[in-house]
Amino acid sequence: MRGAALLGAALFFACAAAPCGTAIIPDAIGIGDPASPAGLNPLLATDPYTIQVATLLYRPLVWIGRDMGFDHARSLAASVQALDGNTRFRVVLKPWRWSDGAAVTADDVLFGWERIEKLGDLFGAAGQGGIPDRVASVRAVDARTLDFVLKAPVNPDWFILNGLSLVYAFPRHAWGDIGRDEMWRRQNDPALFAVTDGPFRLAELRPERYFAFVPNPLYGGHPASLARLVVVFLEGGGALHAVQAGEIDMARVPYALWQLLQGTPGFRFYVLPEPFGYGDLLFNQRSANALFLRDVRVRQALAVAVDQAKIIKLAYHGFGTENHLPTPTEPATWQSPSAAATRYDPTAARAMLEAAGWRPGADGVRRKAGVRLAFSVLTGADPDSSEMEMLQVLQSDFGAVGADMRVRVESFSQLMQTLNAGGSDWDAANSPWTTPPVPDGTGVWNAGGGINYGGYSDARMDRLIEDSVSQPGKAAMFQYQDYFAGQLPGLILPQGKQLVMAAARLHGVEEFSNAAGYWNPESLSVDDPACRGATPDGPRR
Amino acid sequence: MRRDWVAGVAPLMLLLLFCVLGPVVWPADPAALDAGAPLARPCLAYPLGTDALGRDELARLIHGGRETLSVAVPATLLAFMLGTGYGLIAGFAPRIAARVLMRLLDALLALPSLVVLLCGAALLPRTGFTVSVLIGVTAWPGLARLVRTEMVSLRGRDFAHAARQLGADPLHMARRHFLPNIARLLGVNATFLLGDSVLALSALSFLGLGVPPPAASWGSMLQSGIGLMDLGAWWLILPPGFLIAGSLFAAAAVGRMFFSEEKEQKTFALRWRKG
Amino acid sequence: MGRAAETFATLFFLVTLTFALAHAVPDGPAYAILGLKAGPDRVRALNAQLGLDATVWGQYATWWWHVLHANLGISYLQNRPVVSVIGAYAGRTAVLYSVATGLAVVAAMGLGWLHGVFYRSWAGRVCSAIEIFLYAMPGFFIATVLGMVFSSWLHLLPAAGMVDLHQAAPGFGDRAAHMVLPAASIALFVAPWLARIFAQGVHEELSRDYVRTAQARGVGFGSILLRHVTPNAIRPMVTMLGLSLPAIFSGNVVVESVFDYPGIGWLLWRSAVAHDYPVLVGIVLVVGVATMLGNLAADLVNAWLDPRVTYAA
Repeated sequence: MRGAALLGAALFFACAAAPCGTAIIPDAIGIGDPASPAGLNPLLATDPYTIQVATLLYRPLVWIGRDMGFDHARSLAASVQALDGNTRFRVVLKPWRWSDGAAVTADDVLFGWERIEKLGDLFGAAGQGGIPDRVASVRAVDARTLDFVLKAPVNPDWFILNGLSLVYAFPRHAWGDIGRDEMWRRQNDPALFAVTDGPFRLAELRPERYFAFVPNPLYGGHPASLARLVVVFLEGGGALHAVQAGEIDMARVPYALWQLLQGTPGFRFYVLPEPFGYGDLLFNQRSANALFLRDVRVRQALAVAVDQAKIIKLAYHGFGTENHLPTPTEPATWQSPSAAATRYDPTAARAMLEAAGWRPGADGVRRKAGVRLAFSVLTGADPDSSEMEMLQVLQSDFGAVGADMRVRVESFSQLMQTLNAGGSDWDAANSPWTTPPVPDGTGVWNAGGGINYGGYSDARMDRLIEDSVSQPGKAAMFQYQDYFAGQLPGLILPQGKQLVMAAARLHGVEEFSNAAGYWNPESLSVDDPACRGATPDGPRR
Repeated sequence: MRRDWVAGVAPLMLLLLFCVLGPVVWPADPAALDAGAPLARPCLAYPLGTDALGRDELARLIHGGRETLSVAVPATLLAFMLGTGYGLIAGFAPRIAARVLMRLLDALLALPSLVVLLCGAALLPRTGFTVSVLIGVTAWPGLARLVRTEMVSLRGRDFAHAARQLGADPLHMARRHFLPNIARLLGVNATFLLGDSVLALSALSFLGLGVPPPAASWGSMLQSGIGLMDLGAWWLILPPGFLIAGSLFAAAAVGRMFFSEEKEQKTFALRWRKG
Repeated sequence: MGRAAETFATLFFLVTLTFALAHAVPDGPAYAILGLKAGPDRVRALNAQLGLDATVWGQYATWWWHVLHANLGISYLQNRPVVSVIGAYAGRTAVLYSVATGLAVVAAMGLGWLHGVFYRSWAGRVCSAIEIFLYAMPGFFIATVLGMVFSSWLHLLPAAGMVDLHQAAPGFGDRAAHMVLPAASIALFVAPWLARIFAQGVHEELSRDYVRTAQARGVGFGSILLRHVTPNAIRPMVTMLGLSLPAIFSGNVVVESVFDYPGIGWLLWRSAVAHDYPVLVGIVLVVGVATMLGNLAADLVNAWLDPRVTYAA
């Protein structure tokens, strides 16, 4: 009798806590414009969209939380210790299980590490956080402990947050000794991603249309409240139309329509943080046409000529923050305290240009030795976008101090081709960067860096960047940023926040995405009349 | 007769006037943003309302018309020349060559033109020029077949036999005898081609593969209107659509002017809409 | 027999044309596949891997070999064989196509009967005006207006997709509801001209002697219409339907893009936007062949309906 009552109570509570309801979200919420992910293998991801969906299935050793720090609750690693003067990192895993019941062991992490090595140049995030180039070896100490041995001392925050967030456990028993080509070929093969250790499992995969996920009941972390999560891939305006039609549950709202849509019944509105990174007008040091961009005085003058407050007001309708350093402002954990509140001073800009020998010409554009202070900016932006609006403000700001800036529009793939070619046929490019959790400058501003498209090369910058990743603490990082503020290989620009409208039945939207676009869909829940026993607000985060 | 002429030409004239004289009558700047009035309903200041960024829709439509015509007209000319040329050659060629040419034409006609247009738009860098050429190159097969059919039937007629008996060479025959006979057919089909070109450009732009921004044709304006349908912005959808439809109607009206209903069937039969 | 030879010749040209399309490929797609960090070396390696660095004739021969073995390459973006990608989407388009064509024929015959019977009177002129009005509307405009009215304003029908993704196992009713607007759009796009042809045929038949004779004998008008007039009048409409298969496909493309219906047309559009050339070319080939077969089928149906029809060159 008591047994039956207990059983009944257990069933009741089990049902009350059972995942329930479906949420449909478009991709790229929290990041930017939509784009289809290439597949579900996080190791092959060269863009945040793939990471967004892949991390529903696999959790890395270190998960980045909303404060852009180590989120212990959602990481595979229970703890990470920096030992031997920051040359050895001991990682202890949580007792998680794969969705087929097997335990997640250190050997699985070792297997994941071996996949990174096998991928070679196909590894999407190669170089970030020193993975794999600064790692000498990885050893399993016991069933749930690993050691990462490094070639030289590193900044522990940098290695843990930037590097270990790229390392995943993969099921050796399900994947076998899969090689580089096979991993590439099977990026979209649902059979390969059947065994997962993350909060969700793959239910359906329709490339270019949607991915559907169901909860993984054996997930070791906080279980998901949804019974079904669908990630759809829609063109820009399509998502807004679909959310209002009730086809999907969440969409980004363009700045211009924010006021208009406020108060639409059945929806809630959220302001999400800016994508974790910074906007930047990248100067090409190799440009054949605009040689003056190699003159630091000209770059500094141009930086001071920009009215960031006006950009924020016109392009982002007030939803943005001024920024002058190569680091995100939200959160500003790694931002140097010497960050200037504002630098806008067109009079000073004009004076600096005069001092550098640039005299105003008849048409208002400055000249020096017959050369006009004119350059073009490459962009892949849509003319109706905020980015284009920002470029127009830049154009008028530069014009006010006697510099002639033109906008050159190219398709995104053409743009990437031009940048990657490393040629001298472009002067500047508008290229917002997303940064890893610790915004070091490796790859971007050091000589020979993989995405140092502008060809900037300065020995002191290289040394400061190297110090910032090999010395503990923040001091070296701040020094690098302060030097950057003086050198300006790129002109930092403000970014806009993300405005989102979501169906009122969807809860947990505020906590759902961190600034880097990493999703925590476990925080989402829906009011669904079919979910009996669940409280109206659903189980929270 | 007079009334038929007016009915036939009037729509086309109105459309051309709208596009050409529009900026004079309504000189608003199509690119000017009015951040305080996004998606404004039609009113005195904005007779056709504004779009999501606050731009004057009427000014954008006028400007869009010029964009559309600046691509569609060259495309029509190209298609017309290619089609007539190919049709004449196929009409005069010896039997085997003619059959080969016609089979090639069949292969081209088997492909829905929108399919080829999308392929071409994906392959080529997209500028006004390339889009024009692309549309011209996909539009000519229908005309070529028409011309060739007409040529074959003309060649079989008495005056052609007589001319050949007298030793006239093909070029001379083409100029003196055939061209005048098919001139009306060509003239009518030229206007149909113009309608088709406008439609093809609109379909391409609608799918996002037309001339890239900032050029905005009616098709792309219709596309951006769809995302805003739920906000009740019918003024972003109906005007561009009706203008495109109006161009087709105008082109067809010119055609109807020349032919009675039965022949109209024949000339219509060998062309079909592309989207 | 001559017809078969001609069909083969046309097919030959079709395959050659698609080869020309397939191999007019610039380096562009390398970045779509390799992502942001592709350097010139990786691009070269990928081009070699995809066989884009052999001679033109070599590639042409390889193309024929592949086509005859139903191997149309691998999709750049989905890393799956093109044939299986197309196959997955083709079925849905076939369903939509059939439903839409059926609706179109029904609508065309209905309007055509009305127009044909009342040809000279005001009712006939109204029908004619409706036909012309619909004919002038671009397919994407019809689709957009239908979506606007029935989905955004009246909330009667779903706006997009094939199924409601909120349901894990959507039923037939859900699928049917999602198909109404796309099928109706295509039907409205195709029907006007069919109706016009049919109406013309009906009108001509009605003015023939046998009709008057039958009426004098007391045969009901409806019976005459159905059993004698319609079969004669329907032939030109069937020919027109056959000729317009390519156009129906084009209409299909835009309608599928407006309603986000995942068929071949949608696939074509997305592949064009994303520069997925293997899929694009594969679709061109498949659609071209299908259209030719469709034309052949329409000719055969017509021959069956009237054994007197012969083939012209």
